[in-house]
Amino acid sequence: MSESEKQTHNQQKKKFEGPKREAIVDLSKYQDEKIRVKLMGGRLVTGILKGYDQLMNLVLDETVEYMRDEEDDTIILKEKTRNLGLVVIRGTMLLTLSPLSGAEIISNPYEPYDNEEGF
Amino acid sequence: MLPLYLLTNAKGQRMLIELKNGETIEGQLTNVDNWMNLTLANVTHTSPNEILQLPEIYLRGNFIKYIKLQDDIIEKVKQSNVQQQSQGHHQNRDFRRRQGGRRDNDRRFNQGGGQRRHEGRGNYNNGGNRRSYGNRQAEGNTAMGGFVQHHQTTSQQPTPLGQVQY
Repeated sequence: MSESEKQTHNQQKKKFEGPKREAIVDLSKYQDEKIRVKLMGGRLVTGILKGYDQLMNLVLDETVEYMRDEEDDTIILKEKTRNLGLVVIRGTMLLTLSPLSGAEIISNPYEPYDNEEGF
Repeated sequence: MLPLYLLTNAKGQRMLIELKNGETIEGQLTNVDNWMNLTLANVTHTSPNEILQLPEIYLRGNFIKYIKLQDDIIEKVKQSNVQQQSQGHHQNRDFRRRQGGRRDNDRRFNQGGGQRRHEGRGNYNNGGNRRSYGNRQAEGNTAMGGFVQHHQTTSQQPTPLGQVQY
């Protein structure tokens, strides 16, 4: 299908049925940088971005998962982590993604943990 | 005034987003897509554990509970919409009509000319939205993917389309 044909095809489609997925975030700038990803179900992981695709499936290296309080799994225990190593994260499960560099804790409403990592 | 239309035209504004898990994110909107996935800059992320300051964040539209916008945003969008229509709109329509005629030839011609081509692409990404909207999108979409550049465009600068592109 030529480009122009594709275009007419798309014009005929209804309002918000655009292309399959257009990237609004450029993940190349996070390549080989530490990022922080929240997943569906409440897990929080950080890792070094090694790869990604258009669907926002990610490859993370040296991944660390932050464990949660057993009674209340909305509370993330930052001192309790487990190493996952190299993982692939499925794009559909990704909720938020932010770079770790430049992130800082302004205040902690609960326990004042010492945390140099600035996660 | 469609929700996504409002959001798309509110780029650059500060807003507060509550997520389905109760966390809130406050920041400056840099980009939106058709799924309401957002990118924000200068973000304050408030969760039950802590309050984080982040340079930027990407978040799934799926996971949004609601977005609190500034009160005057709807007025601003309406205004810039009116300006948009009085400027780029007619020319845009003209272009479409011509395109309808001999599409292939036209297309090939236009591809040489940079700007035109971008306009076409904006359309493509939009899946044929309202015309003025498509036109506006075109400006932003020239830098697809590089969202940092994005938020300088659209609503703040009502003028350039007409002059620059035609």
